[in-house]
Amino acid sequence: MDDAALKRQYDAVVERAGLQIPKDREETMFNTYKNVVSWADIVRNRPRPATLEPSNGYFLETVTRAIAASGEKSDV
Amino acid sequence: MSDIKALSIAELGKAYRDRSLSPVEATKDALATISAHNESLCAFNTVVPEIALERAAKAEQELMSGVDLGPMHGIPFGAKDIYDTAGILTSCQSKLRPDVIPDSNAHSVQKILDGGAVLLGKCATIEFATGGPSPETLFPPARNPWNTDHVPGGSSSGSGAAVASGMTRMALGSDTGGSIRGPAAYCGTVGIKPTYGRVSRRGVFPLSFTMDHCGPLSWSVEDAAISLNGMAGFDPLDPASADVPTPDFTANLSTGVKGMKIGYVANWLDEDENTNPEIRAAITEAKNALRAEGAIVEPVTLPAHDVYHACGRMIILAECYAIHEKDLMERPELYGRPTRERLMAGAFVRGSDYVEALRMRREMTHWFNAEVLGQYDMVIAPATSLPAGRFDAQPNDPLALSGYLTVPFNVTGSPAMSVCCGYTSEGLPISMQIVGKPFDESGVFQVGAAYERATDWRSQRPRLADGDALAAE
Repeated sequence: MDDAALKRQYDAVVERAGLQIPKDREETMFNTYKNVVSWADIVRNRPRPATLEPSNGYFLETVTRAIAASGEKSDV
Repeated sequence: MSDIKALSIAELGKAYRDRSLSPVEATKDALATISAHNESLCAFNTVVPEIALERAAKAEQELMSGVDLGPMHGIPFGAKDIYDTAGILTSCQSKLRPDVIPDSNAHSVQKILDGGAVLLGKCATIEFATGGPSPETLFPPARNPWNTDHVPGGSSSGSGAAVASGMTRMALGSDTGGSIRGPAAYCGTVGIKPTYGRVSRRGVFPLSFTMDHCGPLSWSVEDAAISLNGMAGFDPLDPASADVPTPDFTANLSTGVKGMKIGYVANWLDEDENTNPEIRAAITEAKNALRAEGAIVEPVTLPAHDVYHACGRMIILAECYAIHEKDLMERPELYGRPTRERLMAGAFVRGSDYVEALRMRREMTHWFNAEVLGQYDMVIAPATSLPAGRFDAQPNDPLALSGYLTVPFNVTGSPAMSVCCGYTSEGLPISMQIVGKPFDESGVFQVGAAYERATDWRSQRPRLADGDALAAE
């Protein structure tokens, strides 16, 4: 993807996120965006079978043990 | 440096128990050192002399009356200013938190205090443990005791500076991409990031929930092992806390490395065209020293550092953005620029990028443990490819790494410790990492202690003059 296309992406992402980036930091933050895109390519550029679970697998036990330890009700 | 400051935690404990020194004397000595050098080093944001002396007096009374709470009893220490401390400002170095005084202690702080230790105050950090040193933050950035024109590393910057300068033997740090091991490397101290889940993160301001690790920085390996004994343990209220036995981490300190198989990560320094040649030479010497002690040291090739970095960075960016998004929207001007820009970069990570990074982490962690640690007892790697940089040459890029080679072991969650392995011709420290199998911190300490005995690096300390004039030896 050329820089102009990446810049359009960047502008859209910044606008959607509501980030306030000063003019004198635009170029730096755009370069940062390009770095993040390149890292995304690295983590995607590999076999990704559906059965491969993320490493932050959710364990219900961590919730129940906290309830047991604190004796407190959820504040959610 | 006074005789008291030269004493290790174990030596101090022995002196307390044979009554040649008291916790009050040691605490007064630490407070005097802080008073003499903190203006130049900015290692402590907050010092609490009254609280410290009160606790020291209590420890003294207890020890005199035969109540012995263990090796940390009466030992002064500092805590990074992201650890909650009851009744004491916990600012995260940020103008967003100029008056945040927690009601309770972080789990690990409470454990150390329960062991009778004496909290001296709160050590400087990089704002919210991310970004770079900035004059815009609530407190000034800490400076490197070896040369105050240079950074001490981050984000446990004050902890590293405080330990290296002799203000304290131990200070708590946190490590999400290298924030214990990096400052330890740049300040020439020991710094261990234990296995993910070994030490509770509860009460420590989060940067990245699944990458944050808590651990100590200290001057010696033995002090690190004693300190970790004091802070480790299962916490049911931390969802990441591992319900595993906590061994005595000092048990193998004198065992040595004869016959141990150690893999040396051979490819990372070669991948960085800016690698400092003195670091390359120091790492080679470190390998030779371990071989001379009887270890079998062989090269291993790990995935490129850039691959680990991409994986770890995507996770950290996404998680820290979730934590800070509201404040970034509502009061961005209160963040210092380096922290604000690094946090903003989290908005550039897509949801599926984050999930793919998590899945990749699982693969990389499995591979490292099965393939590398299936063949080797331990792994060593350089801690950084560069020595500490100058304050006036900080990178413009908000995501710059500054030479750290530490994030791979945040990705794998492995126990990893920085130990000093030399000095550059400019007198700045060089360090290597010792990396173990999950929950084998004892093995990491075993190798570190053997290396420390075999070398003379611990005899060198930054030369501190009274007041502002500091000079590297």
